[in-house]
Amino acid sequence: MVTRLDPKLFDSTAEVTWCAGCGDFAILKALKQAFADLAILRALKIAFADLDILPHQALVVSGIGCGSKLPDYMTVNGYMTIHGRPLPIATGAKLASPGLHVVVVNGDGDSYGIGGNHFVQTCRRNPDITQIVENNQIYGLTKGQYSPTSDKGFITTTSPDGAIEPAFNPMAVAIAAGATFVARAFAGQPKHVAQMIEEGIQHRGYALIDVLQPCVTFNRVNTYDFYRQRVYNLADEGHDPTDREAAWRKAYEWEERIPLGVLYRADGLPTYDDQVKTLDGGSPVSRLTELAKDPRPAQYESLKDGFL
Amino acid sequence: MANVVTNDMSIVIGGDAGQGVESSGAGFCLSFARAGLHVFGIQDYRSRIRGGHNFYQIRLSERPRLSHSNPVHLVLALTPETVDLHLDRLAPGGAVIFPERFGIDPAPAEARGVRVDSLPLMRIAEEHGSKVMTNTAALGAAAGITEFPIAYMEQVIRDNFAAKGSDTVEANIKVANAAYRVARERYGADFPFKLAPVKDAPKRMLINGNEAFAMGALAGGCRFMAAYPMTPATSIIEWLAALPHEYGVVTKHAEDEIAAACMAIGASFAGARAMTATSGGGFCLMVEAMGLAGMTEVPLVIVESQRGGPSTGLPTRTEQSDLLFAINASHGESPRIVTAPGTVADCFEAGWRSFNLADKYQCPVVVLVDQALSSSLVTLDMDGIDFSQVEIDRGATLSHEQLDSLTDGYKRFAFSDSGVSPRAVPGHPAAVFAASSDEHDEVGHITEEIENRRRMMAKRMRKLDQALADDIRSPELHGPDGADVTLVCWGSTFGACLEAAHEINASGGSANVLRFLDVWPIPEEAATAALSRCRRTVVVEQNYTAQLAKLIRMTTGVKVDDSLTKYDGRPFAPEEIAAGLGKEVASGHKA
Amino acid sequence: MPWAEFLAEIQTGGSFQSREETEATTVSVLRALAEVLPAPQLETLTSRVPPEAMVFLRRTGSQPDPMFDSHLFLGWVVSSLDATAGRDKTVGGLDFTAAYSGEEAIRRARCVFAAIKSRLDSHERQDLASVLPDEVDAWFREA
Repeated sequence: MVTRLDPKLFDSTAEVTWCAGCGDFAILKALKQAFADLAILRALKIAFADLDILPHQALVVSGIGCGSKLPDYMTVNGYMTIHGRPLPIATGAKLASPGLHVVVVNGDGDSYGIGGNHFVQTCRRNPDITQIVENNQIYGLTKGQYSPTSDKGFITTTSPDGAIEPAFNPMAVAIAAGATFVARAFAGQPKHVAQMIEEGIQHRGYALIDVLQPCVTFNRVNTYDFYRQRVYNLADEGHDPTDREAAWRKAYEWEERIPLGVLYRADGLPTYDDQVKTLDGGSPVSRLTELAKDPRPAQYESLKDGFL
Repeated sequence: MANVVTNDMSIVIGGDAGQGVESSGAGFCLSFARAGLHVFGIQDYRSRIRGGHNFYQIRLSERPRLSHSNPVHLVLALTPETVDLHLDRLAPGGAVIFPERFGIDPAPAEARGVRVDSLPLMRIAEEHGSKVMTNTAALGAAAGITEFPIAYMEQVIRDNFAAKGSDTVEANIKVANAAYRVARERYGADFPFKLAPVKDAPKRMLINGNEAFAMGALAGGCRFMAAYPMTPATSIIEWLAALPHEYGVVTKHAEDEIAAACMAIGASFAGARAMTATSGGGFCLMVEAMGLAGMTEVPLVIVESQRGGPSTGLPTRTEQSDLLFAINASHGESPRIVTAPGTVADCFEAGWRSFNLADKYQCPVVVLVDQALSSSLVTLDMDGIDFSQVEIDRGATLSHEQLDSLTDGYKRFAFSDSGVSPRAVPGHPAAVFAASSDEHDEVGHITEEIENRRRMMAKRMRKLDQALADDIRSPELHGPDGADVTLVCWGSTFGACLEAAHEINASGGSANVLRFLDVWPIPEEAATAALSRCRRTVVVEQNYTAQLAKLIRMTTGVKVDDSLTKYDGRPFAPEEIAAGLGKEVASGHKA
Repeated sequence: MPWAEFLAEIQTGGSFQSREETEATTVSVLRALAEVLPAPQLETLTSRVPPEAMVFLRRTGSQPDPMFDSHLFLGWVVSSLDATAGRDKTVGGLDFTAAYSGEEAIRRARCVFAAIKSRLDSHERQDLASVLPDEVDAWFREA
């Protein structure tokens, strides 16, 4: 008999400090849902229940920002780190303990601004982790400065004359940098967000899900209504996500219409972890456990020959 | 001929970058090591691909040496410039060998009692191979003039050039032999410094500080290293990356030092023993991450191999100017341990000990070395690296059995007397937890509550008290108690200080050495006691502001009597230290 | 005009300062309802509100989103609020009022709900309440 994992497994008692109406709630809910739903999916495909993703099997790594407090509001292994750096931290954790399901949650500034170098490198590196970017086009936690994804002309305290640079295009950059799963969702459609997260986690390789998420407190331009008027679902229009050219064109749609869904995916490519030969016989964590019990110092003696 | 001295000399080989000075020098060292001699080799080079003067200085002896020394006895000059630069360093009776074509005027040398021995090195190279083999000819000539059997060099040539094919190997061997014969015939009889294989000498390794550290780390269970290439630390990750896959070491050349430190932290958070290595400039970039590790109590080992600063500074040269930086790195206050190995053998121990410290105290451990220690080649007995003495001590890390028997809710940051909390590695159902760089409570939830803040800050910081009680080493005294002068040092200057003290004692003076191995937390009581037993204390270090002297004063209140500082990027030689003490005023900035 | 009357009712009931504010709130609530109501209830509502309001009840997808909750509902309402009250110098002159506007948003949503309820019979009211997300149903019932 298959029992469905209850998303409430991931609930925690911490007091949530997000503003009323913040889109982060949808993302949090979606994440909990995704872990639970995936369980059903997996249990249906495979006879054994222990391939479900339980709280102890997952690690959520976040950066700094309102949304990055997400791990604090879940019962799951979590690491709330420093601004711009969850991606390399998550990558290191995954390489050390490949059995963990690693999910990165951070904001647009954290990922595309200060974390930009790691973002681009991770796209080409293709580690088997999933990244959810809570893209609210503003720096919410530090009270309302413009962000890399703010549109040109957006007026904030650090852009009183309007932002000079045009917005960063995460979809296009990800595709160009070689990411193998590039998707966008909208917090106003939480079920779709959950679906994208599930597909992202299931995808073998790096998955980027950029979630358009209205910041009700500080961003009065990119509101739920703003998005509602523009978003449409790629799946409804017969978009082929394996077609990179098509994906590229979709990545540049923004002003009038904003495509949601999987823009691009390349399946069947080896992940970074797949190709690390030294992981074949065990992981840094598993090997250490063995060594701590049985150090076998004789195994190193032959290395001295290299210095003779 | 003047008194023959056997197996106690220093050789310099110098030339432009790209003339093979480094490979020749290293090959030379290996030849002598295999013949049973003790070797201490240092490289002096610039951050350039072509051009610029580089040299390799090799000290040979029948006893282990911890430092290079001056004067030198034989200079192999591959450029005319080399002759000018090193002539003054030759001892009376010494010689400089160079290609005839240079047309060097012998008068200045002869005035000083040294010889300029020209040889048809380039002609020999061109005849039997090509001009690029001039360095091989120089090596052959050196063997000839010291009457050291050419067979050892031949073996090294075979090993080094094997990949380039037998023609190249044979050509080089011919060049070496031809130069050997000419040099020995012309100059051998008059050259008083000889080298001979040591009978029945045991096999020894020729190894540098980075390599020794890497071996210690491997034996200590490190299976993850992320790094960004930076001289002089790069060879650590290169050595680990070249290991057979079966050892299971995951290495990652990251996109920058921030990523390197963060990857290591992520790997450590997930339960691996993880490290990174860099130099001062890269360490700057890692500083924020170090605070993250300290705040979230994640073990982390960072090797910082110091080089000439500030900024790009002297990228290929040595310095000890990051001591106070490493001790204080990162904003706010978080615990860290800083240790400073002084010899290559120390580096091996630091390799595994640093991981034990990191695990026990769940904090960053910075291993401060420098370019001199990282790159100097020394001979080490096979049991100088003893894998059977390596311990893997995981401190309060919970075993699987312990996790299985957890009943109450697990608290990753549980308050305790020692400050150390039982540590779960993510993946066990009984211990699902979150860590945050924000201030947090015992469970890991973010909180700014006053009482919790006070207790949590104290908890983190008092781990260092436990370290002081259990693991931190007191400064060690080497040499006779109650000597007239005590050389106070840390890191790689230890070797030169020891030799300087020996020389001083041998020539009727009275000196000993007090060296600090662990530099943070400072064992204040032991340091104060040790310093109070000294007559006159002189701190010997390679930085401008005498940082160890400052640190000692800051923590113990003790003001050392003098400081001898050097910040020109070249390592201290023993005679420099001895000479520096002769003056009443220290050469350099006082503490 | 039914739309004007509709709005007037809401403005009075909620003591809104301006017609613009009233309209913005009403439109947000209707849009949020459009996202969350299943087809039968949405049809009922559409047939009861003034014709000008029908455009706001058009859904983005064809199905209501089953994960739509009270937070998301509020998100729609809050972003239409003119939530400015005072600039805080300690944060460079920003106005935090919107962060605490949850309660005001609920109050306003209730005013719109009240106007809607007055146009539904009791069976239709119950039916609508039963398909609203948790908490939102309570606001509707108490309006």
